[in-house]
Amino acid sequence: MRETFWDKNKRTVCNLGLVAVIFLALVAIELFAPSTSMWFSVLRKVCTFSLAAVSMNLLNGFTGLFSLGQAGFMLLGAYTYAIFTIPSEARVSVFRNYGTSVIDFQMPLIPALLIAGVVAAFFAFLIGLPVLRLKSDYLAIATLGFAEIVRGLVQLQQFGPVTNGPDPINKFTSPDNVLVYAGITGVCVLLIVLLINSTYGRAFKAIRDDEIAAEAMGINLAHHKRLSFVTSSFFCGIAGAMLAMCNTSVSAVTFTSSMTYQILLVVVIGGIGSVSGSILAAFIYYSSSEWWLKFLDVETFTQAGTKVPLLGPGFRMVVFSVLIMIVVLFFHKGMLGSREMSVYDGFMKIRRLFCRKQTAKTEGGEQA
Amino acid sequence: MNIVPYLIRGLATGGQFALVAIGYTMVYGILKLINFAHGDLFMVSGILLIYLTASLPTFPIWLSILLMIALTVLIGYLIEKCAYSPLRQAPRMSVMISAIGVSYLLQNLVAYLTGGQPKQFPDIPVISDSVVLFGVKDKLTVFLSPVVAVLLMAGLVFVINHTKFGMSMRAVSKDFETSQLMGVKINRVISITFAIGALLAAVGSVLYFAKNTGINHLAGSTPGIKAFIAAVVGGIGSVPGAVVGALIIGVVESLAKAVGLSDFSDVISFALLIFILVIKPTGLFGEKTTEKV
Amino acid sequence: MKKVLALVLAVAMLVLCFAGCGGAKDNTEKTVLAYILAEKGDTYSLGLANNFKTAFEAAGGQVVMETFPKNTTNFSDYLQKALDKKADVIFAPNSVAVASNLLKNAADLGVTCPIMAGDTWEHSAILDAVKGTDLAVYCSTFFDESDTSSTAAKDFVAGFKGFLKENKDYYDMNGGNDIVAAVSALGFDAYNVALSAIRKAAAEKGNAMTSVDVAKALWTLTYDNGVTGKIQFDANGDAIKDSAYIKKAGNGAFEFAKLQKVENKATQATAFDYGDAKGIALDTQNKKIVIGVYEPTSGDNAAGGKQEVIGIAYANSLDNIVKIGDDEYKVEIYVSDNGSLEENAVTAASNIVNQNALISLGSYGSGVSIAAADTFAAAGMPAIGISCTNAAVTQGNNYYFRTCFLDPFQGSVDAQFAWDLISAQK
Repeated sequence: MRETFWDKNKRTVCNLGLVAVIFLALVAIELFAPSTSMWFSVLRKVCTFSLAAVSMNLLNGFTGLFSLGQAGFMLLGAYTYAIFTIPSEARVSVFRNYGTSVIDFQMPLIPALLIAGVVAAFFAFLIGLPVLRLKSDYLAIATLGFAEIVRGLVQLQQFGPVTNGPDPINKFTSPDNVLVYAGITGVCVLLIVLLINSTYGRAFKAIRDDEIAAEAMGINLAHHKRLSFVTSSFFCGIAGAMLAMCNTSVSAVTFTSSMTYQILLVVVIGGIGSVSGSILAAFIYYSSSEWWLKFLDVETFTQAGTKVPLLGPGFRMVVFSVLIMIVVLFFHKGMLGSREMSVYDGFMKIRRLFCRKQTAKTEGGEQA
Repeated sequence: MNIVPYLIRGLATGGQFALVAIGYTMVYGILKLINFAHGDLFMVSGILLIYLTASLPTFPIWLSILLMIALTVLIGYLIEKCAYSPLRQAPRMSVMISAIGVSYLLQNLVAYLTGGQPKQFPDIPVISDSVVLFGVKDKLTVFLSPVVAVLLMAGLVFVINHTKFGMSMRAVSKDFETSQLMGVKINRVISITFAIGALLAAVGSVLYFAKNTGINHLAGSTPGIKAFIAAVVGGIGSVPGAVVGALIIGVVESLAKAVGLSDFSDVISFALLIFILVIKPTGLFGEKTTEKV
Repeated sequence: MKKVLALVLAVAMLVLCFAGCGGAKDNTEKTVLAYILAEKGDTYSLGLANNFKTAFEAAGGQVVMETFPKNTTNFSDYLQKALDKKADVIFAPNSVAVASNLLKNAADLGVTCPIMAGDTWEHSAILDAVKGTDLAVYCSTFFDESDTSSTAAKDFVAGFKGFLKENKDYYDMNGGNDIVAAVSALGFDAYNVALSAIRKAAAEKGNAMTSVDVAKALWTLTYDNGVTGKIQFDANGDAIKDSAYIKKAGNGAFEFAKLQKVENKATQATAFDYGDAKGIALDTQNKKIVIGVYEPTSGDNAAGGKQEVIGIAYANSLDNIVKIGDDEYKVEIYVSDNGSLEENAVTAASNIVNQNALISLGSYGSGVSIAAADTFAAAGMPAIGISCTNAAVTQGNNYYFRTCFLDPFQGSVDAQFAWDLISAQK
């Protein structure tokens, strides 16, 4: 029997349908949610960290390179983006401690984003020359060190005319529209997925599964590792630029190693090696930590006037870390493991479950 | 310029970090796990002593310290039992995430209990006393720390090299599965390793916080990361390496400030780390391993 | 080949690290030397440090300025440097959390020269750190509880102490004592200024008023009953201030040391046109007005943030009904914690916007205020900074106001005082 178009592409079509539904939902939120809604700031953050998590997943989940330099690359992207998109007239007030900015023109959003990615990728290339020779944890430590070095150097007064030294940069282009963020993330994630499904992607997975076997199969290890590292950092840089947009100000103190750990947590919760898992996890992680669990931080009183026990500043983070521990300990493959979310399979599973129940019922009926 | 005070304080910080670094290096040697929670355990032990002395004012301080050390060891043991041992068969990444999770939990719990405000470490007789040695005026703990660190290291090296338990530790770190087959009680070895790490961290915390008295929930992160760097620089898995690495890190950071590089003080140890890793990927005292197919 | 390249790169990185030291050559011939210690990446700390530096050098002094990274707890090496250089004064404008460690280290090393800082140091933790030592610690601040020249201030001090006594939670938040911090007084004033602006806007627009009308009202508002003096805003949105108090940390209390006046030529702003900005509407359904409190109740600046919250809460307990038309509106405060971190700023600010607040008060620190400014501006919500002294907070932002003085002012006041102090000693 010849396979029909539907048979061949049913999963893709269904998933595209899901993407369309998400997109429509975003449009609906953008249009109809009251302007004071938390949806906006949360969704902007979710989009940003989805991209960061997916780019980390490309490296950690698909190539098996354990890198902890994400915060550093995001910082580079954020600073590059911010520096290039400050309007000329605002430069004097932003860089007032250093006379003026060395760079004195304003770029539109898209080129600035690309440059942000390129700068991060360039540094990744440089740092990759020595550190990519290191194995597993040593690579992680070296990249972590690199991120800290970048963070330390960017804050120096000597670099003031370029980076505004330790002072935060603000007044750069930062769109409010959630769709802008979703669009950037969508395009970048699509590119990453295409890369993963290409010959290169298969080589990455081979390296992840067994480095020595992969080399024996004729895969150029150094080349592919570098490619994965540089690409991942490129998208990390863009994620950094998006973080700058949603924070509306950039300061090096934000890009700590705990930010990298957070992204790593998102990747692991979603499932190492699952793009859709990373996005889903980013959504759950950031909306619960920034919004849904916020009530735990507020001292609340019942109607009788007694204080609800435990609630108070900091309690949210305690609950949150307990939840993380539960996920890590009991679902250590993450939400999706290394699979991808598939609407079609999910639907079939539900239908099968439903059908089985039905058949069971009819069988029971017959016996009686 | 007189560099003696910087040298002494650098060695002191190094000695304090060394006691934390040993914990990192031993756990890594056996489980191949970067125990991110170790720095936070260090902080928790400091906080514990504050609460113990506040709630048991009639106790002599040395008893509180002993109690604190015992509690820290217990917490270290429990962390291993609850957060790491269920994941023994899981991929290594999961265990590391679990470590990050524990680190979050400890930090957030302390932040919640203390309200995020720094608490003051109590004055400890003798080691908090001010003395002048080599023309440097400071608390006794500053002069004591490197000595204590080296002594404890020597003791630990003796245990590892000359006792039966030490032999099983070495065996486990060499080959996890074979040593299990040879009848080594792996879980016991791992538990004791964590307990020793916690013990040293607790001792280190007394020395460290007697000098740096304000403790908040993040007080463990800097010593943690520095000690970890020290362990890697010294060659992770090697106990003397961790101590040497920590002393190097401490002195280099102090001297950097002395010569006017204070702006770079947070960068220098990381630069040193990358430098060492590039020229000697397994650290100063690390063993070179070859991967077998 | 690659190994060589890698080595070269690593060496280059190290060299880069050492490159910075060339610039800081010290000339020890000068007579008066100030050692400045600021926190890397902290807008407040560096802003004030740089202004102090400028003013101190202008007065003829010499300055050595160093920075330390965030989360530093051991300052011995920095203080040793100050000792080596024979500094006449140490200026360390940092958070309370940093200060208590720094002062303990200073006591350990036997530092004898005066140690100065800005408004953050007026906190009981500093008194605890100084207790039993020979340190001479000074700070500049906005308000002095022993200054009884105005009745408003006198009433406030008495009322505030009573309020703390009645409310155990607030007493604990204040650090377990009833010292009236300057930032509490500023918070009290900021709340009342906000309420006056709301009343003014309501008088003009009735219940059709929005947050933009409140912002409009602020520009031309004159608030006479301020406990920290009369409050009017200049063209930047900064309160026009001309005096600062210098206090010395004594045994268990801050002692008044000097009232420093500097001429301030700024004049009140003229009305500002926001065009057709929409803003947040009055909640006519529930008859309630929310005033957002954007403060750090956790993190490095929590100590000060909490004191501001207490001041605001006290003001709210005294005056919380606004009559608009025939209806009475209850004024509620909504505290949103920014954790002293810039990365939390947008979320914390969005939380306030989400509560449909008409105006926001805060923050304690400058960095978080700058980071939240765009979020408030996008919502058309005015914000009154309470003790964020960095000049960049209000500059170029038409929705941000503030009730305290600025870093250039504070820096020059501190430098002048330090200079006088050293001259008197020599």
